[in-house]
Amino acid sequence: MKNFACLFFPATLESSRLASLAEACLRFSSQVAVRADEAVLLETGKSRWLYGQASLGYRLQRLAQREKAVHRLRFGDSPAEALALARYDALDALQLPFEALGDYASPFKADEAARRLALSLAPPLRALGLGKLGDLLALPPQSLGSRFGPQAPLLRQRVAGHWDMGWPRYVKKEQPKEDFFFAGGPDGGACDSLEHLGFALRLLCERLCARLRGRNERLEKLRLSLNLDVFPRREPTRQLWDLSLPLALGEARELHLVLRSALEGWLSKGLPGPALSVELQALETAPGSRGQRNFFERREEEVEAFNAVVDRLRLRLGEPQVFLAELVQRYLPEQAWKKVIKEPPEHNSPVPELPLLSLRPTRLLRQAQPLLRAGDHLALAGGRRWDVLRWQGPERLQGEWWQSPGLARDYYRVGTTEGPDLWVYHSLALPLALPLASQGADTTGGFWLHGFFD
Amino acid sequence: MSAVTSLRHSLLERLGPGALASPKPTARLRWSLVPAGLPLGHLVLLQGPGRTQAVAQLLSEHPTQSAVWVEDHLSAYPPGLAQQGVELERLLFVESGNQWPWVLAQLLRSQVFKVIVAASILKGPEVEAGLRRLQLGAERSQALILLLAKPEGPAWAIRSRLQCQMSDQCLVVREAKQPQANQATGAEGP
Repeated sequence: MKNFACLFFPATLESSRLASLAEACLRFSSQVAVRADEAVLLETGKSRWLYGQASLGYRLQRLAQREKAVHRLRFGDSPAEALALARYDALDALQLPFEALGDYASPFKADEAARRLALSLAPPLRALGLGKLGDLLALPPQSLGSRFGPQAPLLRQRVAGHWDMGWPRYVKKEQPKEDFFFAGGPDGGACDSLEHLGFALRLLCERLCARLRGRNERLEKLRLSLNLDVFPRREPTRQLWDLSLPLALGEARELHLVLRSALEGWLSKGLPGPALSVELQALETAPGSRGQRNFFERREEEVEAFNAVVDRLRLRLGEPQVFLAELVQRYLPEQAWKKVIKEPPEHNSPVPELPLLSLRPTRLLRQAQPLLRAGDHLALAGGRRWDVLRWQGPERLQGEWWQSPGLARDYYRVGTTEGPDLWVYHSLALPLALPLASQGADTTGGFWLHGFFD
Repeated sequence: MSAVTSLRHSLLERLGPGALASPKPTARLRWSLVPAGLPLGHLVLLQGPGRTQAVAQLLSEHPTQSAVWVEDHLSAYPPGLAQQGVELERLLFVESGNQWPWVLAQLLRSQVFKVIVAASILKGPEVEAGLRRLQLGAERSQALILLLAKPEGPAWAIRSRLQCQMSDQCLVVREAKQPQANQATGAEGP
């Protein structure tokens, strides 16, 4: 397998686009370099991920296709070989013309002086009847320096596969940002429908997530901005929306679904005018320890799908409406748990310890209801009544005296002839349910229905 | 030869032996309360006292499966469920208000949850269509949808009905009688 790859764009590509592509390539290897306007180079030989040449090729092609520009991908034994093969659209480095020596002289940046020096070798070599890089290897290396100049043995070594250059350090940009221009772009014209906007957003989500993946990050907060051509203003209007994701996302598909849900809320009446461009910017990111997918379990995908559905539901229903429950060490039953939101635990994670309490009901009323007690009958003020079979308890819950009113209740589990058992308490701290006394009921003890053992 | 047999023969002749293959057996989620287990990809109605405990027991028997509890306003009590063995970290609660069709559709589409519990009465103008959509979504995602209350309206999309009963503090679950078709309360049955 050849360890160096080059994605080459013959018709040049904007430096910002190349930079974002290079950032996306960081997922494959930390050895990534950008050659201005032309190419992205990477080395996978020392990458900790296992990639075959074919699978890496598919992945790189997929990334490059998002740029919607003509490109060529080649692998080589050195970055220069990969670059030269891509530039000359060749498969065998030994068949390359001598002009390719320019790439061997300086593969990481367009160094005109080095290139000219390398190209100055071509005429004397041709004068000897040589025509391809492979012919250079046939010449005795000892005499090359004296015959063709000091750079000739160095270039010969590089053509032979001995690489001596250091890899330039790639510096990531601060916050990834992706944009798409409707007017003047390949699609032409402005965008006047949410559906059209959705397609552009899909591309932006893919690009943004690819970059975040390269940085080992996931998205926590993003900004969507639209440049709108709103009549009668002459200057385009810029509209911004910030979206916080309670659970971080890293997959384009899931992010796109969340964004579309958000857009339906933001632009419920449609676009106020034709959109000229759209921009997606990552404002806050969270670490995402993702690299190569695990062959043996699908946890990453499951977590991503879980996060996405939670984000979508919270966006539509409101944040307090979608949650996990976490137990809290409190005696007051209605405060014995709290709402949290977090990613699901690993399959083998330890189960949290439960507080030692007597059996609690499975259903709890939002507010305890006053009960009328008449002999073996209990009734709600609304009319529902139960015939009591047995009383179990009491369990006294007392404390939190600093609260007003403090907690002082005797809880009973009440078995009834039909339906689930009731969870009833008798309040010790509060006055009796006096309003019920006016209805002629026996309110002795002041019983309250608080839940069901359903 | 009966009409069915002759039809079978003529179909086999015309379409070949693979045409009348028997349908794939339904995957089932094992449950100690129902020895046959619960069919995945179906809507199951749980009725009677103790249904919440029954659900809790099902979830406790599958601690690694993610589940979701959907209710218009939450009445489930998490500490009580935890005491029944439910792993709260794997049970997502959603207070859907009146948006249950959208919420359940999203949950099914995500294919994250194997067990979806709809604890409130499903009501509204589109109950019949909503249930049918749920049934199709459940089939596609191979999820089990447990309804803890009888929907308001025609509920022929519900594949099986189970009756819970507390007998001497012990929970018993058995197959419930199928409702009569076309009753005054709504057309049951396809």
